[in-house]
Amino acid sequence: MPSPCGGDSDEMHSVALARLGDDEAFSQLYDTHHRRVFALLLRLERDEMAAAEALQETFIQAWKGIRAFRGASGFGTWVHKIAVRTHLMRARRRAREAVRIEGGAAFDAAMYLVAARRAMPETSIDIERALARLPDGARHAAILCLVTGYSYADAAAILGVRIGTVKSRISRARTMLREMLDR
Amino acid sequence: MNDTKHFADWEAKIDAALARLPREAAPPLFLREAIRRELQTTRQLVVPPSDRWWSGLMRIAAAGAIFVAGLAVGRTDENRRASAATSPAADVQRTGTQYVASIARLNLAAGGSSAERVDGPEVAVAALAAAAAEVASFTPNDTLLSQLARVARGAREHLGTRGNR
Repeated sequence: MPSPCGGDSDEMHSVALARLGDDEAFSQLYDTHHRRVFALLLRLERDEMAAAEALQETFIQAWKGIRAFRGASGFGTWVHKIAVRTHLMRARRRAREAVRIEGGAAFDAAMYLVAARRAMPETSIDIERALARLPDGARHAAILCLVTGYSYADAAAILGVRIGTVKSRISRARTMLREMLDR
Repeated sequence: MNDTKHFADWEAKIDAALARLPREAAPPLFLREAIRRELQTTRQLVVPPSDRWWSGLMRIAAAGAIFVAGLAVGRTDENRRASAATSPAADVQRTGTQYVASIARLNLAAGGSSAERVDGPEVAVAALAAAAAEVASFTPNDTLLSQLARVARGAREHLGTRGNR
């Protein structure tokens, strides 16, 4: 899987040390990747604290499973995949809770945009707002392909859906974004 | 034909705008240490010899330590998410965002009632001054934080005086 998030031989050396529990290797890999993973999770979760929790879960899962990482993709891509799966699991859990607690799955747009502006000062708030308002499927596909730079095939593999599904979700996302931004 | 071209132009513009969005974001600062400590606790990371309680690394921000303590307490609880969400550092982060979001909403409502236009900034600055005073009390010898508290208090008094006219 080609990586929009780097990966080289030095990194594989750090991964090898990380498998042995090396603290410095953790710092190196975390420092290299956490900001990209957090940007991805912030847009997926649309809540700063939820994204922080998801980032924590992602890195803990990554370290627990680091022996299984073989380097077929870049380390960053591998961690992105874990991050998206972590988000999807959390979203399913929230959806179950929302059945019990009315309105539990709603997101606070004002809170999200304040957090987005703080975490990414150079971002466009209009675009972030429109992106955040997309329905989940279209939003996930747009974030992975149009913002993060994954191919349709990679996004399909990460999301666990068919390529055709990703294409139709991207098409829907573009149409809805056009309607929101053309006002 | 024109519609098709118009749509294609829009599509290209949207794709370009999305591709220009930043791909990196800064997470809360306490997270790095929280993750590291969690991995050390579960033995995924080996604690280096220099990383004893007296070492420099232990002089991390109090917020980070409190956050980890919150996590450690919550580990026995099946719902760890709740413990992370209720740690004091996370609480400050969340309520800080709520505070700023509320001011943003206040700005949007600025065209509303005259009471909102007058009371809004006063209430916002009063909260800011109280927060600055609390933060300054962490490190009483920090000149910059003391100045921040003084300026915020001055702004609150200024708005209070203006409101009383």
